[in-house]
Parts: sequence; structure tokens; C-alpha cells
Amino acid sequence: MTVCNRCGKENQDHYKFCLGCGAELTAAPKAGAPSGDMAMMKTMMAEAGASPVASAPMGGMGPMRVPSPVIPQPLPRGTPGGSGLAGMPPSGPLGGPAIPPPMPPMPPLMQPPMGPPPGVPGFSPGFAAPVPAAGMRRCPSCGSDVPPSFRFCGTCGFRMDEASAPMQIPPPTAGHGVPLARARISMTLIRPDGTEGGSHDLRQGENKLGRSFGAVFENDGYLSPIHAQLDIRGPSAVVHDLDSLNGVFVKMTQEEELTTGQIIRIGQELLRFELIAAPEPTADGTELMGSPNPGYWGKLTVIIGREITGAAFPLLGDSCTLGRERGDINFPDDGYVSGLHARVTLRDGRVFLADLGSSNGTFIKVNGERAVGHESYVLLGQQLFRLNLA
Amino acid sequence: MQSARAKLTLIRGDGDDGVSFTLAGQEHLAGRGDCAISFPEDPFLSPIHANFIYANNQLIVRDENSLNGVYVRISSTTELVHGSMVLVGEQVLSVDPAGQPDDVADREGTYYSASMVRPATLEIRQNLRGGLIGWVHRVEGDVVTIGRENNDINFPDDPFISGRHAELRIAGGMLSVTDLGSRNGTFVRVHDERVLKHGDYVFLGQQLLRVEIV
Repeated sequence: MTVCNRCGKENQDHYKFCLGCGAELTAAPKAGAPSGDMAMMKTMMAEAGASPVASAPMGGMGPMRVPSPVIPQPLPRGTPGGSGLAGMPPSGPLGGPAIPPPMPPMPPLMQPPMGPPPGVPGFSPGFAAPVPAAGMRRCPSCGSDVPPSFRFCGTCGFRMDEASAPMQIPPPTAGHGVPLARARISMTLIRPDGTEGGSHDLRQGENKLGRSFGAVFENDGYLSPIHAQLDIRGPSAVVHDLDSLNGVFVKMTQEEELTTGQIIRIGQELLRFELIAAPEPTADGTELMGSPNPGYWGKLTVIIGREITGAAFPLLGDSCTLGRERGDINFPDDGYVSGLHARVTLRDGRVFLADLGSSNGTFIKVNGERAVGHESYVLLGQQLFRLNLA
Repeated sequence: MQSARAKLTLIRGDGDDGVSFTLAGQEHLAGRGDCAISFPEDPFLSPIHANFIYANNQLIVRDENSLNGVYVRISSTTELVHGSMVLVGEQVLSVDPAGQPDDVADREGTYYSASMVRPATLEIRQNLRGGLIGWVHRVEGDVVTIGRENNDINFPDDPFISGRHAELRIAGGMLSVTDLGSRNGTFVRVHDERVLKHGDYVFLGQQLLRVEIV
């Protein structure tokens, strides 16, 4: 365990930021962590660490008791709600992504691909090009590292014995990227502190996204190798979730209808909405005994693991608000949730979700595919991106 | 051995005694259907719900695979095994040690991204009438109190729950429940069967019965 210096929360050893307050954790990184990843994260940590801390750290206190760290931070450009809501306390140290940055070390065999695979748009300069792992062969099709004993590439299935023995592809240089001067379509990484990180070039038509498809993705342990696809047609696009483990989330810009089973994200909370319907009669007419239902029509359940859920909150009345402090349902220890964050409303037998001007936004999981556009915010793995399609 | 050694007295909604059932045979079925102890109007009873049996000079209640089970009021600290259900006031609660997510990558090396990790020792689920789950509370600590107000878990709208009603305790991997002197008692669902003592209270569906052994 690593104990956060700011709020005292215990974090798992591989976390780089505190799950309680978002502060940088200063434990020594584990040996063997991907070097490219570390270089990138250090930059982010340096910026986060330079932020002034408004309240003094309270040693030994859990995050429940510590006032949520209020740190003036620039919000990502185009983020609604940051400045427009007078009196709303910033919800946390981070203006941009709602996702905590714990990043487990990647198992050695799952080292992300090295360098850009053919057919993938160029990378922006600024990301260190990883070197191939010792003893590995590079897949000529997708660029993944493949152990010498493998006959097929574990990432794309390319038949390795068709390839000549260990290929040496020179590491990409700055010239590998698309010239900066040219107008281009891309997706820009929004760092945890709200500033812009690198960007990933896109092209008209089909764009595959995932750990196998670019330097900006390859060290995100929460991204599947082939995670999503972005089909761009002029200024509009459709994002497809390619059966990824963690899915694709899009930041809501208007009220949306919720159907049962819909997964949403606010702050660090991954929530599943379910309708609570009237009970069905049993075969022999016996009714299932239980606590009286005072009129619950829905429920939000906190997803805490792949097949495990945590707390659940039934929804009662015309609407229920979610927040850190001022909602009907509160997550007081989640510094990335705004005081009043979102609202679930029952209207004419249908259920709607609306963001209430939260700092970090309300994200809705893409079920299959979804239309997105210029300046849409898309959450992939643990990283937030803004689409630039203009 | 066939002499009437026990009777069950129905406790009415106003707290007064209602009808009594003398247990004069060897086995005495209870349920919504054609039973010696029959409550045809109670939709929470299975047609054959429970059986009151004399065995080895003891009175035993056996759950006859009923839908809703048999609950007996606890008179002292009672161990809860996995999947235990507890009745406090009108609340049917499942109590279990809190499960924890494992932080293991899938076969592609991807980690599951879920909500922030909160330590928890106990998980208490509210089973709603009809079968859905309502509230789920995950709480940290060795002792968790349940009541109407100022407890770790509160049911402010349940008039049958006392201010401080019951206490759940987890120690050395063992989970137990203790009634805190509540007015209406704390009941635990019987697994299969259990011995009854004089003065025990048994809930079958909505029927509360007091056990009197001569």
C-alpha cells in the first residue's frame, strides 16, 4: 500500500495518483514499468504537482473528512460549466478527465506495439518512441512485439514465419508525423490537469483506436488492443465500441434518455442504471416477501469490478440528483464529482439523465455505436480525448 | 409421545394474542394450502410452507422449500452463514462479507476500469417485495448498527424498526447479528430446520407465531 501524503488514503502500489484526492503518489515506480509510459506520466505529474494546494494537508485523515481539494485549475477549452456556474465549487483538482489515473503495470508479454503500424495515421511528435523489447520480433503487419517462439502475432494474428527473422524497423522520428503546418483532423489528449496532451492524427473514413494503434494509447492498461473504431465522414463521425473491456464513453451535451442497463460515469463512479419494474407473479401464486417498495422506479448501482457491484441507490420521486455533497445521492469521497453533478428524472414513464453543469461532465457509455462530432469528448480507457474534426 | 406438548399462538397486528394451534400430532404442516396450520389469505406463504415436528423430545421447525422461508427471532448473538437473511422491522436484508474486486488483467492484458475503490467489510442488501434488490450498503468496520436513525444503516421510514435495532459484527471471518433490545425483535432465516424453545417467535409469511412448550 502507498499512503497518500495529502489525504492519507491507502492506495495500491501501482497507482500513480491517489484515488481519494488525485494527488501524485510518490512511491517509487515498479521496476519494469514501460519507460515510455513513465516519461509521459512524469510530465503530467510535474504539472499536477506544481499546482497550489488551497488547504493544508491533514495528516492521517481519510478523504471522507478532508474538504475536497480545491485547486484552481484551467479547464479544458470547450468544457462547459467551468466558468459559467457562479458559486459552484470546483469538484476536484482536475479540470479535465473524470478518471483517476491509476495505471497498473503491463505484463511483459503484453507490451504494446512498437511504433506505428502500417495504415495507421502518423503520430504527433512529442512521444518517445519505445524500442523493441529484447529478443522480440516485430510484427510486420501491426508492429507488435512478438516472442520468438510465437508463430502468429498475438495482436493481429499475422503469420510470423512469413516474416524475415527479427525485423529492425527504425524508431519513428519527428518526420514520421504529419507536418504540423497542415490542417488536420485529430483527437487531442486532455491531461488530468486539464491541459492538452499529445494528439493522435485521424483521417477521413475508418480509424481504429486502441492499445495497438498509437503511441498515445499504447501505455493505457485500461484500453483493449483493438478498442474502438471512429468512422469519420466530413465533420461528423460515428464511434463504435469493438467489444472492448471497458467500453467507450462520450461526454453528454444535452439531456438523454436512459434505458435499463445503461452505464454512466461521473467522476470516478461507474454506475449502472436499472429500472425497477412491478414484480411478476410466481407460478403457484406465492408472492416474494421483501421490504415494502415505497415507489422506487429505478436504481443506480456502483460497479466496482468486472463482475462485482458495490453500493446501490434506489430512485424515488420525480427525480434524483447525484453529487458530491448536494445531491440526493452523494459520493462525498470522490473529488471528481461536483457538489451537484447530474440528475435522473422520471417523466411520462421514461427516464432521462442530465448533467447539471458539473466540472468534469457526465459520460454515457456507448452501446455499440454512437454519433459524435467536432469537439466531442470521448473517454477511452483512462484517457479523455477531444475530437478535432473541423 | 403424541400428547400435546406445544402450541403456536398467533400474534395479531395489534400485539394481542390470536388463535392458537395445538401441536398434538407428530408433524404439523403450515402453509397457504390445505395444512393443519393454514393461512389461506397470506400470499407470502407457499401452499406447503413449513413443518413443525417433534423429534428427540424437541420441537423442530423445518422449511419445506418455501419461497420465502421461515424466520426465527434471535434471543442472543447469532452466527450468520453465507447468504443469511435477516428480518428487522419490515426490512428483509441479506448480509454478507463484502466482496472485493480483483485487479487482474484480462487475456489481452487490459485492466478493468471500475469505480474508485472503497474499503468495505460488510454488504447489506435490501430485498424488495417481488424479488428485486433496493438499497445496497457497503460499510467498513467490525461492527455495523442498524436502526431507524443515527446508526450506520438507517431505515427512517420503517415504523417497525427501533431507533437502535440490531448490530452486525464481523470478527475473525465470522459474521454475527445481535438484537439491541428492539421492540419487535430481529429474525434470522432458518436454513433447513432448527430447534425451537419455549418463547421463540417464528415468522411464516406475514404470520407471527409464539412458541409455547408445555
